[in-house]
Amino acid sequence: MKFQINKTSQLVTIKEDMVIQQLEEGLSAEGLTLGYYPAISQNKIFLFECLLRRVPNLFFTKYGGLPDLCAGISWTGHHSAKVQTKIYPRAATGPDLRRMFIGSEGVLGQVHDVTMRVFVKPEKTQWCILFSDKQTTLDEILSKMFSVMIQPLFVVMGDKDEAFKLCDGLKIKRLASQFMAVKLAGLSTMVSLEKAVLYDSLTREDKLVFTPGEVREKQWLDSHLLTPSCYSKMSKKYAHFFGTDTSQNKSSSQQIKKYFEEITC
Amino acid sequence: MKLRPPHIKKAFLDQLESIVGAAGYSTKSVDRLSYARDSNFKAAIQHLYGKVEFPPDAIAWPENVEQVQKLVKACIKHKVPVVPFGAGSGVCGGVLAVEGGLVIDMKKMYRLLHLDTKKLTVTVEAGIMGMHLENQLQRKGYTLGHFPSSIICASMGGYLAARSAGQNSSRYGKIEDMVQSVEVVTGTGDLVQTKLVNNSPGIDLNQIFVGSEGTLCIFTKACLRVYPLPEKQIFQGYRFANMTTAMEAIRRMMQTGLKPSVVRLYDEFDTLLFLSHGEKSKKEPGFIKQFLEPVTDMAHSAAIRSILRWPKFLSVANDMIPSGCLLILIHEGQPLLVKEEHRIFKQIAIDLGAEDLAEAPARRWLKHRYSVSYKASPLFSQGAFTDTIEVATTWDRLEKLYNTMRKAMAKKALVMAHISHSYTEGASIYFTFVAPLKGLKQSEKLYDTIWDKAMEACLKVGGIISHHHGIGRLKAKYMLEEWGEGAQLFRHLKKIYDPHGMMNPGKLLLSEK
Repeated sequence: MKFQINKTSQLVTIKEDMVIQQLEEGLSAEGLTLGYYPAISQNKIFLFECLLRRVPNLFFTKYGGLPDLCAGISWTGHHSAKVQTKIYPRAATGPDLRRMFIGSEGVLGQVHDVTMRVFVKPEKTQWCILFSDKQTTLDEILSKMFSVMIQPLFVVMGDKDEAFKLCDGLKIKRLASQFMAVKLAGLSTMVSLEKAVLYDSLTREDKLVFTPGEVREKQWLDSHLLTPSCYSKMSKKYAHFFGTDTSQNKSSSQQIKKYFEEITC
Repeated sequence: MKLRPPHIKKAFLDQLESIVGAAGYSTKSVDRLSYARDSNFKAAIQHLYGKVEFPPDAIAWPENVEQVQKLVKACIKHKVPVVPFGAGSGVCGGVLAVEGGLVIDMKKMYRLLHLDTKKLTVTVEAGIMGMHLENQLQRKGYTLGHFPSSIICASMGGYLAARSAGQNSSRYGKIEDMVQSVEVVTGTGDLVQTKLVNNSPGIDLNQIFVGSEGTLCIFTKACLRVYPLPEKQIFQGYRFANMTTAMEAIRRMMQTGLKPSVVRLYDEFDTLLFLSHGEKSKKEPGFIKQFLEPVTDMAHSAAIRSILRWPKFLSVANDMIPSGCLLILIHEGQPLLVKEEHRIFKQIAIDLGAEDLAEAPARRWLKHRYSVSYKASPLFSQGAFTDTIEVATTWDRLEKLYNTMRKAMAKKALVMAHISHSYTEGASIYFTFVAPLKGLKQSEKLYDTIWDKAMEACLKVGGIISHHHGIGRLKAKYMLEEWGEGAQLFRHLKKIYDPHGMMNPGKLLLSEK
């Protein structure tokens, strides 16, 4: 068996590299989800590769990035020494070696096995779409959403052309020139309340909102919005909410990478 | 108390003065004594008996980053060890100057630099005290959400160095979850600015420096996530029949994916202590009570010392306490969501047979939550000493960790515990032990024995030896076993960021020399 589930602690240990989709299917059969979908356009992608490259998570806003999802990892270093971290939630035992390894792009070694957090599959998912002619209004709602710790599965915003394309795709009237589409997921009652909180954030009396109900509408949104390209656009513009910083000081991290490359040679 | 004279060259002192000015450093005995320890209880025992093991040679108080860099470079030039110092609230001996050297106290770099209400971040200098930061944020309607019991006497740099956790960590995370970026001066004197890479490629320097306990760098600045103050809070207490059921309740609650602000579970003895402390009378004590108080205090001390001589008996008695286990919850946030979270958690608790204690226990905890740390000092005068041990593991091992560690320590001390930081995959257990003072050598030996037994038990079960206090000097000897081959990685980090080996020696991992 390539993976082993610990239901009590909601963990899965993957002993051999697996295609992420395959792993997700295995977890789904047990009513669980990895909470991770690589935000890159690549058909078959393996988990260990994602760990080495720290491939972003499309569902970051709900489940976090790969470092948040990894509870323990072991790898074989370049001198065949096997480093095995413990499996734990959080610790204060020095620098976090798990997080140091994830994203190291092979400089520190190759993954041997990994233990990831898993989650109960959401009881309910719900797309909510808010419209406004003002970008600032939607920016404020986005900020408010994160500030009250509503953690959507996904959120994307778009301007005029994209808003019109969205309305045409859903076969609804073109409501405004800007939109924010939020996919909520979780306990059924909480999702309903989170939707209410979001919609109440639009202060206009004629709230420009749309809640897709038909299967066709949800499928359209999943296929057109829940995509790596939409994610990439959001993570660049709202890096502080997406755990990214495109202005990374490369020289600092290059220093450490160069050191390890040299010692392994 | 006598301190050894400072081992410091005039050339170094001259350089210190040129960097921070005559008022910016000290070699006076009174200052060296003040910085000779943090809040570690073993050092407190030693000082009680007049022993000062590791006084620094000098203390400097830089006012800006340039001075910090120059100080580090001066220390490199003169081969003087560096000990970064925040506020000294750590309990693991993390600031003990085991090889002497220069303590660099960051408290003069204390400013809140920028609050960004759109990005929900705050940028601060690392010497800012926790409570000062929180007060400044709350005046503007925001919170860091970080409330360790040391908040009154801890600095941001100290939080970052140790990987601290606050009492509201189940909602807001630990400090490493809050940090967006840091600015540090490494052991080469270089300034490094990190960035947030949690969800993008690149080596995560944040998570290398955070938790490094002064062995790789000195924190000079940090940018952290903040939140608006919660609109609503709901307080709730439950009593469960036993720890097994109560742990199961917390596990189910956390695995709903919801994030309560405070989740605290007390074991039977800790529950008894909590519930037996009522509100104190505000009346002035009468003459007779004033006269009798010293007598009763002496009797009280003698009783404490006597009873602590039989920890095994105490342990058996502890197991028979019928107080049940108290769970305190605080839900906070958007009113509709908070109400629903409370309802969901209540259903879980009731399904597991909990007694609903309404809001009183949680409100009382909130009112007195910082006072427990100040109960250690009176214990000294009553002939006992205390310390705390915080470990963590996954849910499937948690009860075994609790029972194994408690059994190991109960041979030598009175032990109680609570769970104060919970996650979907596990939790942290916080043990408190009390043992009798028996003179310097015997007390040190007893202290070390209790810790050794606790750590051996923890490592045996596979728990993490520290959740938020850090390692310091106290637990450094267990780190080889904790890290395994990972220790070699740390040694490489030392070569990169502290090639001269002078950053806070004797901490995190004992050196091989």
